[in-house]
Amino acid sequence: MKAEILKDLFKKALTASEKITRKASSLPALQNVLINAEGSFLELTTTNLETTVRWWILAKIGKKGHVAVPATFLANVVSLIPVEKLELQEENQNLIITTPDQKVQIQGQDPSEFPIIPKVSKNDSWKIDTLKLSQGLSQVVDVPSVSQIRPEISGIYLFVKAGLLKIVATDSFRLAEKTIKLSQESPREYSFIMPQAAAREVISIFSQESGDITVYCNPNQVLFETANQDASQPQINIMSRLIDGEYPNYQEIIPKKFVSRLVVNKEELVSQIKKAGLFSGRTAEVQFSVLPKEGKLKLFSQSVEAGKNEAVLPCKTEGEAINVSFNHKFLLDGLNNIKSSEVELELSENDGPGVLKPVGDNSFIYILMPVKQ
Amino acid sequence: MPDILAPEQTKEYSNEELWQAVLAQIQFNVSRANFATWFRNTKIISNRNGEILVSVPSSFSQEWLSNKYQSAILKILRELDRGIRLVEFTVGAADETAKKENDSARLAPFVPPAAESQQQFQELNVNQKTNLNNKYTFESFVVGEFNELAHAASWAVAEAPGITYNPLFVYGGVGLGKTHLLQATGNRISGLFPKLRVLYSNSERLVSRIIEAIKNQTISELKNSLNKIDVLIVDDVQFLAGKDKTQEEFFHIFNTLFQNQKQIILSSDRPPNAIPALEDRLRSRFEGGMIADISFPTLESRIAILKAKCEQNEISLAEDILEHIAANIQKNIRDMEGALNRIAVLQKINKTTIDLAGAKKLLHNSLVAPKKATNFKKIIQAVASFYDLNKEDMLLTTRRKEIVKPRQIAMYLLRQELQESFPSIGRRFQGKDHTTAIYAFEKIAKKIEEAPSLATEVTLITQRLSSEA
Repeated sequence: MKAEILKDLFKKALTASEKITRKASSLPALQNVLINAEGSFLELTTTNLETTVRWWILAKIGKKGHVAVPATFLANVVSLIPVEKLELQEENQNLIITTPDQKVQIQGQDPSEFPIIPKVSKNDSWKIDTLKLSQGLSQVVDVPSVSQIRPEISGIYLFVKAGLLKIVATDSFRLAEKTIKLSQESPREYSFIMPQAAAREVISIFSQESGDITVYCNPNQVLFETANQDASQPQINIMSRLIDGEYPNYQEIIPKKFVSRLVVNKEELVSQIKKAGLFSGRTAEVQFSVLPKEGKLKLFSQSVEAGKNEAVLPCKTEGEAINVSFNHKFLLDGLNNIKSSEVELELSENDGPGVLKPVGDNSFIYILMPVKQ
Repeated sequence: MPDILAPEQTKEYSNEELWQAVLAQIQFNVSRANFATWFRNTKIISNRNGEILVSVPSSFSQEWLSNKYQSAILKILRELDRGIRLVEFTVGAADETAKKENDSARLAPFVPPAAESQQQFQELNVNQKTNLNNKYTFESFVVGEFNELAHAASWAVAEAPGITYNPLFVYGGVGLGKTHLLQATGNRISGLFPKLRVLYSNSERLVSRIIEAIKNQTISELKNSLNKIDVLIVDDVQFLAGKDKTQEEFFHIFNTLFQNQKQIILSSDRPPNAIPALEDRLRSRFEGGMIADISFPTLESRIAILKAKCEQNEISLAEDILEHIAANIQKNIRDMEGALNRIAVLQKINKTTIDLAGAKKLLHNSLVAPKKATNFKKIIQAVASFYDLNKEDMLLTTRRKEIVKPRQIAMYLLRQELQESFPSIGRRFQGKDHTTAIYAFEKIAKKIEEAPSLATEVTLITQRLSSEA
């Protein structure tokens, strides 16, 4: 193998792909990045058998071939070589990097020990804006908690219907749903549950890209692929295993009615919840009282150790007076994913859920269960 | 007769034996890490005409095994059985045993890691197909003389759905365990007869499905899908009251299921004959099977329920506190459990044991609250909704029979629950004379003594008042 490549492109690809190889595994080959030179592209592949990341970077290929070297190690080395262009060469399974005044040789391993990446059929697919997808995923990705008891809710649920993608996540205490319009109507409905870790990879890699992404759905796998026409940009694809099982009928959770609705300034609410949280003690409980006559929202928290805290916020209210308590951490998690300056909060009685929504944006909804009083 | 002395050459290997032999030999040619990664959770799932199908857990294993080990595996297999010609790999659903473990884990309600008082989405415990919540079981249902008939009937239905009592109609007040009993019956049927299709629905949901189907002109599809059900459970059928079109569709669904000996289980907060605006033919269908009521639990039963609840949730509370709760909350098991939870939570947070005085203080508010919270508006509302009337109708000056009776009951309740003076009651109803109020009060009081049906109605209304407060 012999190739010439721009260092920045190589470095970017390596930094993005090496992360998944850090996951401890019994199979030593999984620590490697497989570098394959063919045609006019250098292909980099890393996998942990759950998530697989592949980059194709435009390069001048002198001789085709491949090499497998430890990914994190290579990334560290490359980031310390301050030149524009690198010359890569394979010799006895080792990788040699040459620049006009530097030469490194990295100990490689047998490339045939590297896993064979399964093919994904490209029959069924839909398209979405890359940035919208990674932003949407990032709004819900932290909600699930790792749980072996309910594997199907430990992942992120993606559901395509009527030109819309819905991204859903829950940990049984709260649920977030993001709705995004597809770039191109999809004739079919698709739904799958992807592991949280794979969703994090999609976010971290694609948040730096632009244009559309094509999503190919297979029974066991999903493939996200950038569809760049411009060959000077690397083509990236991320493949993920899917979680077996049926996602709960989460629509049932979304409340259809409320007892009290209020609109309040988000920043004020966030800082008051943070303060109330300091006083809430181990139960993390903060009590919300809606005072419709005064147009006020009162927050109250106390604990034996810390003391008491009470704060009143002005707000627009609709409906009846009501008292509900929430875990302040869960509230902040929801509010942190709301970008609007004002936020809408809908409350229900009898330990029913509360709903947070950004004002003027129907695409995001965050539902959380209260703490029993 | 089996020949135990058969020569070894003709021995038939089972799929497990074949695969074990393969694994035993392969392990010497592969590194431990490779063996552990690629051969874990693999097995032969079929052997037909010399074609072996091996299930593997992931597409990665599939690629790896078929590219690297196919010929080695085939060679080993052929040494054992010359008839084998081909070996293929397929990504199977997770290993059977793993799947089973998963299923049983799924049946157990998810235990929240956070504070017990943090509420969860119950919907996540709901089975997709049956719509039943698996937390409701017969084991956690406390039987007392107040519900033993309903319990026995439900149990019998669960043992032989469609045969014993059809339909089974369970009625009783709010928070006394109707839903628990219905869902437990459904869950038990699902457990005993996995092939039967069970569907639980509350009537509000059913009504909205029917309305939507009528709107989208998909009513025949909806009916077809419901007609395929073996056990239909509809909770709170009193909500069908006044919804004529829905009642008509429901009547047809009911008939089809009934004629095909499919089990139907219904619940309501009152007996069929006390549900207003219910078509006669539907009422007579409801009354056609077994009707069982759940009345108010006695003090002993209430204490038993609290104890069972304590055991379930590993709460330890003094006996006299339980007695205090049971003595003071008499008409709603749900409220009683709520009170118990509040004490338990407080005890947990403060890490102290609460004594009777502390419990009394804590519960004081919730115990006296219902009486205070009832007011004129709520009484009118409760009576009107019970008889399916508008609030405004109640205050009309009219002698229409369907309004006179509810109006008299409202007057009776104003006196009974709020101790309002008769002149004041009269004034509330378009300035009627206080004698009208006295007459109404005495008439209803007397009728309650004489007619049990009216007594039930009044109790149910009072119950709603206290549960809504």
